[in-house]
Amino acid sequence: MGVDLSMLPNLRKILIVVTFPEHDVDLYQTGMDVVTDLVDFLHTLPANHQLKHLRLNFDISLTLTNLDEAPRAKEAVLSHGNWAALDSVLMSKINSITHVFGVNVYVGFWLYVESESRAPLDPIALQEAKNKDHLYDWGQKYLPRISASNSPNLDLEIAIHHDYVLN
Amino acid sequence: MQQRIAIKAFSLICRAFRHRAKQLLFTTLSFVMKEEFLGEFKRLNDVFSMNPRLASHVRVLELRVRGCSGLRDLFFEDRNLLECIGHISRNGFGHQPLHLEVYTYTHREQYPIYQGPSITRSRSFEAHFVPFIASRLTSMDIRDLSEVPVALFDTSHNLFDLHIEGITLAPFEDSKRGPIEKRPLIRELWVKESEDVVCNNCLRFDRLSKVTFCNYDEMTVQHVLLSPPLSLEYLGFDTEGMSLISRFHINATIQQLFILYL
Repeated sequence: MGVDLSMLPNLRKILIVVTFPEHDVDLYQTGMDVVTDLVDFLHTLPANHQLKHLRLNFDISLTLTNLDEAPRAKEAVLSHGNWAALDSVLMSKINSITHVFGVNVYVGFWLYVESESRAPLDPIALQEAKNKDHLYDWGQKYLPRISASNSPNLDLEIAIHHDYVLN
Repeated sequence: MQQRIAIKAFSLICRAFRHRAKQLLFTTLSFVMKEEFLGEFKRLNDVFSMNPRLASHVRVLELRVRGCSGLRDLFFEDRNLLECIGHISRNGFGHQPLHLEVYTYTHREQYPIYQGPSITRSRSFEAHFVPFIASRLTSMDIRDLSEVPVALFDTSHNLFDLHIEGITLAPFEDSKRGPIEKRPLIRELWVKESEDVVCNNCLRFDRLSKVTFCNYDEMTVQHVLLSPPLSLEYLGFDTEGMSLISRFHINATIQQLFILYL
């Protein structure tokens, strides 16, 4: 670990873009869990930190052969991250302070759909896929403690975004 | 172009608008480095010769370089272009800001083999352009240029805001450079693939307040952050995410750092 946040005593704002490896295969091969890397980094933040804003952007690209694969593929990628550890470290950093701390956690999925038939995909089907996305409550599922926290110091925003790109 | 036409029309509405319109029309000067545009340099020189005060309005100087031809002697030996630069240099009052932007038409993504125009094809650039303009520059944005003369940086004494991307230096003799104390004291830096400039002491970072490293390069980062400037308030890495965290090191306290972007 190269950065020790305790050496940055006046830090007020951190913005981190976490890019997931592009294919599931990479995750198995490297054993790399980018969420654990992030957790290790956040552990270096001292308990009495003065941070006012932490923004975490998780950027995930997936290639699909059809739209029906989307829910399973998204779950598969997310399941490789140690979200419980992230939930825990965020809670510990909130519980130890007395000032307002804004936390934004944002997951952005970029789904590249390769149409096998070479025929353009139905835009209505695409819209339906976006509308019925089963991960709308992903925060409660993957970060349950911080989502349920009623700390008056916590200003929490959790969001998810899906963008479908037709190849 | 639409905006310029609108400003010209605006200046004709009444005499009171004329002065402001002139200021706006001459705020940005864009020189297209093509042979066909040599005539334009003459027109502009005629305008400045008749009314030199107009040159004092210039705040942004753009050199638009055609990728395949680069910056050639042809342009920097052109009497009209050099006189235009002379007007701008002479008529700037005190510490008026002047921004230099040099960029190419073609983009590297479109032509992956293409390495950017070579600035050293023009000795005249170093001999005729740099000495007149460098000391006036307060900010600079240059991209995709190979073999840039080191004097462009070494003699830009007032430069404090620098954006460099894909820049390499021309060979130089260290003994012929000016003292390091006279080199630009940078406050804001955005750097990508330009370790040549950062690591050859062309710039001083003692008062750096904002830095963004695009596409992580260890040499560049180490050079700037080995002894982190006390004034640093913003540190940003525009790269591909968290794998970076284990790669770069901060071994000293950065007291003023306010924003960290990874």
